[in-house]
Amino acid sequence: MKSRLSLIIDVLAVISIPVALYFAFIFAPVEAKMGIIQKIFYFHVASAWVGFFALFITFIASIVFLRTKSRCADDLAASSAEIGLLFCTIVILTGPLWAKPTWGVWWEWDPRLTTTLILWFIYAGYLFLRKFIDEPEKRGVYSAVLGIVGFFDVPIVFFSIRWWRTVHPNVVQSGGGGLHHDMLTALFVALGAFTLIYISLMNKRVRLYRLEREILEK
Amino acid sequence: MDQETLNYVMKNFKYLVGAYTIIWVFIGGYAINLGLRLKKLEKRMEEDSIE
Repeated sequence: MKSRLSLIIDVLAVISIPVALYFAFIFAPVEAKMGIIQKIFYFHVASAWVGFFALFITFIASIVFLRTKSRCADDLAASSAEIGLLFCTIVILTGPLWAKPTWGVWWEWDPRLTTTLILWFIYAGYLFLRKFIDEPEKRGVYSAVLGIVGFFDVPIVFFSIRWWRTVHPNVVQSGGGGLHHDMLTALFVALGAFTLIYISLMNKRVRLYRLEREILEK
Repeated sequence: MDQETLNYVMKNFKYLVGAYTIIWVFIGGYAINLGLRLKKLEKRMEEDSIE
């Protein structure tokens, strides 16, 4: 039953990729000023969403671990942080590829970009910390504390474009930030696709942690 | 489409291809890596249980 559900999630995640690409490239109109380069936007934003969501799951699982010392919660927190780092890396790399033709520079020490880079270092630090502590209990507690403290960067990244002067566009606001409704639809489809991919990857990563632990304990 | 517009589109096209390559290589690479590691461990568990 469990493996059938995981198969359904995997199939849905794979199907969602061409659907999201169709919506991004064919359904959504080409942006008038930026042209075709704006097509990066759909998956750049979707990656950022998954990056934030993954750290939120790490945050919740870390709290559960500190209260219950459940190994399952520790596996969940670590898996989510690893997948979050993957999506955060995609955001950090695709951002400059969009910035260069539109702003004329690869990188700007803008509040949104800087706080996102800090988020990337928090994820990376979390995984390094887990790598270098051998004792499971100690590793779980230290990384849970970092997972909780590190999460506070997420609202700072999100609200940075409202709190400070920034060159980064703001599309997450009432009315979609002036986005054409077809572009908004394509964005939501990409968000759905990346969320499905996240769930599918999480399912595999948590299972891998469990198996690794079972083998170590034998 | 005039030459100037075509040049602009082509110049930006490489950034688009670069971004999409990064996205799918990273996600695909990670998924394949996870799948292979999982398969290897499941096989090992199976062998251990037979022994």
